[in-house]
Parts: sequence; C-alpha cells; structure tokens
Amino acid sequence: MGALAVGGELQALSRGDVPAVVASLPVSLRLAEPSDLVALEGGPGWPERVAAATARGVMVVHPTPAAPEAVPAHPGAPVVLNYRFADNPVMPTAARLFTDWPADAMIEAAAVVAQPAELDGVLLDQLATLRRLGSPAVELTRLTWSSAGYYLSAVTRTGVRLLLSAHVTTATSPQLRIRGLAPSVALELTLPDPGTAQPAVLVRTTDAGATKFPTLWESSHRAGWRRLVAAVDGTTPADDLTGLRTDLGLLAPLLPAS
Amino acid sequence: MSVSPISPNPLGVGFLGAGPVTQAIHLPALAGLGHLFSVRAVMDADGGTARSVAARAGARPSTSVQDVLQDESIDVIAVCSPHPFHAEQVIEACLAGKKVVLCEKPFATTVEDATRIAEVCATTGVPVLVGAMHTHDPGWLAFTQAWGETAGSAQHIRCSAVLPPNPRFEDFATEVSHRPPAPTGPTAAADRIRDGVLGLAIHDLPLIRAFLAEPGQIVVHEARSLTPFGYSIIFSSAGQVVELHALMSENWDPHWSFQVFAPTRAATVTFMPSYVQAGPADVVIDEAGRRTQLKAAPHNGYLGEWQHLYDVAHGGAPRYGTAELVADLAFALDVAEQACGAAATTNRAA
Ligand SMILES: NC(=O)c1ccc[n+]([C@@H]2O[C@H](COP(=O)([O-])OP(=O)(O)OC[C@H]3O[C@@H](n4cnc5c(N)ncnc54)[C@H](O)[C@@H]3O)[C@@H](O)[C@H]2O)c1
Repeated sequence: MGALAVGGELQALSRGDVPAVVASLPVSLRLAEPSDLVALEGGPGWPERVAAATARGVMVVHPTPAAPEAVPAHPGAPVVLNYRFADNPVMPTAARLFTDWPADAMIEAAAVVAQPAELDGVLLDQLATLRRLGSPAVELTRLTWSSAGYYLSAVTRTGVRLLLSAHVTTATSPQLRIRGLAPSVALELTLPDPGTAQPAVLVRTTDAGATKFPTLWESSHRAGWRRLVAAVDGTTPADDLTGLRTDLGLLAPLLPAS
Repeated sequence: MSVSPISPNPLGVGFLGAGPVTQAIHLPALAGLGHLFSVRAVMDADGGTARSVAARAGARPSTSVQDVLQDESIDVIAVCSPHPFHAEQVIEACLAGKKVVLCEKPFATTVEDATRIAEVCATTGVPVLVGAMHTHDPGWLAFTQAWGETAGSAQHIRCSAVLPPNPRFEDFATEVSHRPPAPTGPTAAADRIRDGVLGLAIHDLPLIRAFLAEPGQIVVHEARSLTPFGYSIIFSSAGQVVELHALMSENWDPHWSFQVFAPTRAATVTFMPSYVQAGPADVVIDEAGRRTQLKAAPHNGYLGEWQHLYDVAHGGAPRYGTAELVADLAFALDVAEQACGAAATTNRAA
C-alpha cells in the first residue's frame, strides 16, 4: 500500500499537529487532496460530521462530549478518537499493569488544563483513559464543578474507587496523572500534553522497589495516526466508538450545561 | 531564626509519655540540640518504658506527672502521652509555672478542652506549642513567605499522604523500647475516618486552613475509608475545594505532598515521612513559565519545633498563638465530624 492521502478540517489539522505528524510518517502518510483519511475537529457536531464523512478512515482530533445517540453505531470507515491523553502510546503497557487491579484499591485521575473551556473534553479524555486502562468508570458522581475545575467520584465494575479531578491553571503544562494505589502496589502514570513528543512516565512500585518503564518519544497525535493506518489496512481494528457511547451516557447528566 | 548557638544554661526538659514519638522523634532531635536543651526526666505510665527511655537520655525516670512538674530543674514539659491525656497534662504544666509546654498533636480532643488550655495559657502566661511538625518545617515557612497571603489564594488544595506503616520509619530514627502493640483499630468506616483525620490529616489541616478564606464553613462532599488504612475526603469551603487523602500500605516509597492550584500559579510542598530526621520539605512554585524551587534551612519540622521553642522560652512570640491553635483544632474536629457523617452515607451506598 502506498502512502495514504491525509486531509481534513483546517482546525483539526492545526489542533492535531497533522502536518508535522504526517511528515514524521512519510512512508505511511502524505498530505494531499482528495484524501483517503480525514481529520475532523472534535468540537460540537463531530458525530454528525463523522457520519457524513466519505473517507477510508476518520480521525477525530480531541473529541468533546456529544449526545450518545448522535454517535454513529456503524460508521462507513474506521474511526480513531485522538484524545490528548488517552491516545498516548504508553497506554497498552500501562493497561497491562492495571490488569486485575485489586478491588480494595483506588485510582486517581488528575488533570491540569489551562482553560475552563477544556474541562468537558478533558473529562471525556479521563474516562477514555480509564477505559483503555481496563478500569472504566461505571458510576459517576459529580462532587464539585466550577471554572477552577472539578472533582468526580466513580467506581469500576470490580469495585475499584475512582477519583477524577481537573485543575485549571496556566502555571504548568497540561497533563493527566493517573495514580493507582493498592495495599501492596502503586502505579503512577503521567501523560504529557501532546504539543511535543515528550514521553509519558510510567512507574510501578512494590515493596521490592520501583520499575520505570521505557520512555516512548512519540506524541498521542502521532500514535493516533499510526492506529488509524493500522485500522484502515486491516492490521488492528479501531473500536474507539464502542465504549464511547457508554462514557457519553455516564457524563451527560453531570455536565453543568445539562 | 534567632537561636543562640551556645547557651551556658540549657533548658531542662521533662517528658510526659515515652512512647515511639518521644523515642524516635524528640530524643534524636534534642540530641542534636544539646547546647540548648538537657533532658532531665522521662515519665511514662509504664515504669519499664520510663526506666529504659530515661536511661538512654541520661535522665531520671518517673511514673508520676506531679513529680516531673514539681522538679524545678525542668523548664519545658513535652506532653507525648496518648491523646486523651493531652489537655489535662498541658494545663497542669502551665499551672506548675513551666517556661513553655510542647504538646504533641492533637492539642486536645474537644474544642472545650482546647479553649480551657487557651484560658490557662492566658492566665499563667505560659506559652504552648503544638507538635504539628509541618507547620514548623522550614520548607513550609519558606513557601508561605514566598507565596504571600494564603487565605483564599487557591481554588483547589490537595493533600496526599502515601506512607508505609510507622514502625518502618521509627526504626530509622531509634531502637524502639516497649513498642506499644499495633492498635486493633475500629472497623466502622466512619470511625476509621475519624481516626485518620485526627491522627494523620491533622498534620496538614492547619496548612489547609491557612489557605481557606472561610474555614468555618465547610461542606464534605464525599468521605471514604481506604484499605488497609486510609481515607479519601473531598470538601469545599466557600467555593474552594480540598482533596485530602492518605493511604498506609506496604509500598516502600513514601509520598507526602501538599498542593495548591490557582489560576496562574501552583505549588507543591513535599514533606518527609514522619519520624525520620530528614528535611526540610521540598518546595516547588510554578508561575508564568517559571519554576522556583526553594531551598530552606536543612532540617525538618521536629528540629524546627524545638528551635522555635527555645526562642519562645526566651521571650520570643510563638509562631502560632493559642487562638490559632484552638481554631486549628476546631477545624480538624469539624472536618472529622462532617467526614464521618458523609462516610456513613457514602460507604453505605457503596
Ligand atoms: N508528630 C508526629 O509525627 C506524631 C506521630 C505519631 C504520633 N504523634 C502523637 O504523639 C503522641 C504519642 O504517640 P506515641 O505513638 O508515642 O505513643 P502512644 O500514644 O502509643 O503512647 C505513648 C506512651 O504514653 C504512655 N502513657 C499512657 N498513659 C499515660 C499517661 N497518662 N501519662 C504519661 N504517659 C502515658 C504509654 O505507656 C506509652 O509509652 C500521641 O498523641 C500521638 O498523636 C505524633
């Protein structure tokens, strides 16, 4: 297969650093019209734009909450949801470490974002991250929500306690930190903002010591495009929309506007 | 800090209670301040503990509170007995006309007792310091100075303590004599949360209170008890939100941090675990693309406590007045009470 042609909405191309990512995958991708793969911006109306897309593969850059019923159940082409944090390439390794996470443990997901307008999106991103770690939230309760951020409490199917928070500040770079605390093991995962290819940091601590996992110098944006290519060429299907509807259903009643 | 380097007349110290805190925290700290203090008596309800701990400090043992209070060679009383005895012993020490009293946290177990202590301090003129080591940590003091006005200055305040069980650190600090049996703690979630707040969170509640504009008006949103020992509590106060959690586990890697988030700045103060003689807290302040790391005096809050006490014994003003100490305790009791109430509903629903 030759390089797939990539195009899309201008805002999606810039938000998702698409030209730079495409340049870093020159064998697989090239920027060209008409495009095989299309990048759509994840703001309001993205599910309708996904449903209308005619490309061979669809990339939704930074998806934000939408009505669950608007999300196409059977899209015509593979769809990758390119989250800022949940799409980090460290996720498969981290997910392995979270397998069978003890039920009497807790997992914290604390995000730092710069603007209150990012809160809805980062909450969806947190839910996706937890889902990709194999610990999706099944009950979600809003504890606090303001322009300063939020606190939400949840559990997983197996009863692990989840505490989701977001803190709005311009003091530091955006990030999502996941910390799993169990009686005999702790996992700490720091997912950086995809603005650069800064690697995530993943550390597992037990009473025998701490293991730091290999750094992957790839942004979530690039990792997302590799997933889309693999889905389009049939190597690894992308089932990003499965689970998303559940997460959207969970958070719809909690968002302040609703 | 105006500590005199050499004192011809070190202050005489008497301990009431000689458990792990006296052995692992105070005696090692005082051993480094031999020019300022001399331990003269070690009292414990258990004669064997008193004898063995007194012997290592070169002090005389006792099993009588009055005996220590009446000893005129003793200027400073350190109350390190179990919580229920603190208030009475502090009051008696003030009435005995000592120069300063150091009371281990918590100061008292009720606001009434704390208020009585404050009244006795006022009438006797004897200052009382509370052994809340984070409030005396040079890192914390440097942080508050660099940050400026604290009340109302951050929207989110987060305090997390992930610590191994105490004995691990006691053993780095001393060789514990007559270690009390591990408490067979209460099992109801609400009781475990109360114990957690008054036993562990109490170290940080004064720091949290300093950041709240309206500490008298808190609403607890959720309180959970964690396994094997810990809690997770979220509360707000006039729009500011506080996250307070702790877990004691077999994890070797201790982590005790206090964080504040404001629209354009944020800070993290990382404390050393209890008991160890390491310090100070590490402080990082982020603002406008610039990260500042503060390098405070190279000691921890335990040493800071005693150095400050020396100054106070020589006429210096206490860093925290009794009204502050009463307010800190009232705040801690309020958080504990409301968290217990919230836990009853949260954990039942779980
Ligand atoms: N600052 C810190 O880091 C820190 C850490 C842990 C505990 N503490 C506080 O220090 C205090 C002491 O705690 P601990 O862990 O050493 O031990 P503890 O509370 O188990 O017992 C202290 C000692 O007091 C003795 N005792 C019992 N009744 C007494 C009485 N009426 N008068 C005098 N002695 C009596 C006991 O025999 C024991 O040896 C507690 O109030 C605790 O909250 C402080």
